Amino acid sequence: MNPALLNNGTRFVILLLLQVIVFGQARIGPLGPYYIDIIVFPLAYLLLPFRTPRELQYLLAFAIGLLVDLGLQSPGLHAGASVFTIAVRPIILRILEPRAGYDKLHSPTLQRFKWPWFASFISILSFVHILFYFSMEVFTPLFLGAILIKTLLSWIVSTLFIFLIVIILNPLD
Amino acid sequence: MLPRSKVFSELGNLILFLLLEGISFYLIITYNDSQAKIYHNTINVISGNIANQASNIRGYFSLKEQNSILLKENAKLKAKLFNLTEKQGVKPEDLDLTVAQNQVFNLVSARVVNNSISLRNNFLSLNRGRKAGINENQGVIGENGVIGITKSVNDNYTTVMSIFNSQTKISARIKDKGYFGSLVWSNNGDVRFMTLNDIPKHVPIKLGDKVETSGYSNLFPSGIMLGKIVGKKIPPGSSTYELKVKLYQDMTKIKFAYVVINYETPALDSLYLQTKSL
Repeated sequence: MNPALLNNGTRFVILLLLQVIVFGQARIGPLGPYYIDIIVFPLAYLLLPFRTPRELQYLLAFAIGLLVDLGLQSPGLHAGASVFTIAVRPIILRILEPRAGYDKLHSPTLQRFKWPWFASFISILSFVHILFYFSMEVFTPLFLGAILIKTLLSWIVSTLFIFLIVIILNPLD
Repeated sequence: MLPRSKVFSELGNLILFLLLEGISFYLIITYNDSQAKIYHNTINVISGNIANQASNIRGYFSLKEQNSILLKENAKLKAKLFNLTEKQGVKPEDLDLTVAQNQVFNLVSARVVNNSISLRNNFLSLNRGRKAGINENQGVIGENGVIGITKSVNDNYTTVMSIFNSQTKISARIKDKGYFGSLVWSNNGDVRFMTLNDIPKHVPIKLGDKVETSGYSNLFPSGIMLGKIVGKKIPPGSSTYELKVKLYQDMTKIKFAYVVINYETPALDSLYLQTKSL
């Protein structure tokens, strides 16, 4: 079996379960209305290999987003955020492109890149996902402040958890 | 470099992206309560504004016609007033028409800015709202009959459940005979006719009998002319008539409407609740 298929498939399943069963159940609210949602599943579609066709990237991101939505009863919120984030991924990749360029066969994993690159890649895109998610969750620009505060808090905690997962599971291509 | 898609063009990717976002957005506004509310409110305000502008512009083209309609209505009201004073023997200016403690109804005039008649459940929008004193569940009448019942109200606009809506039921009676039933839309797409149900079959009904509001619901005053009976039948096994009523009001052309505010509604409602809890 193609190892990329196996790795990514496993990641999808593990992160889906982690998100729905573990992190989705813990909504932390130390600051009254500004609760924190821990969102780690974007890692699954962010680590797709560079060679994945764009339309497949969209569909996979949409699929995992929708499955998370079904689990967390937030229809459309994560699906929309995932599709948006995967659409932004090439732009961020272009900005972060190393001088040697990317190897088509690789994935943006810690195995291929160093921490500074990997950390900026993940934190930028998880910010995009979480910002989109809370924009859709609050759904009105009237509460821009609430959107930004929730996004910022959740982004910090979520990104730390994503790094933790990466360190523990050490995902490969 | 990043790989280019082989299956679709860049345009195809964009379309797929928009499609998936569209689906997500649809899911969000369909299955999430608070988002759905915000969405519908926003659309209500935006479409209300647009419809208002459009109706403003369209209004210019029918000014003459509207003017003559209003003149006629004015004349009718004046005639009523003179008849009233004639009977009571006082001059019109002596009649106490100011708001007294025994005033029951008040009317708020509004322009119809949006109207549908082709759906299964039809709605209208009026350009007045809570600021004008309108609330949910108030009757709306036009020049020649009943238009509907207010459904949702915001500060400046009101959505009205049209009489051409499967949920609307108007309490109506046969003029001079007093038998009452409920007037509903039979939903067949024909907006000239409605159906009057629940009149017992022993009542002598003639084609051409007039139908008016009964006043039994506190939404409408009694005696608003609705239409005349043009067809009658008794469904097999039923003890009541199914009467076809031709409406006086042409719902396809209404431009103005009056919202009926009933000052007795709160008192009646509390009494009703009291009875229900017995």
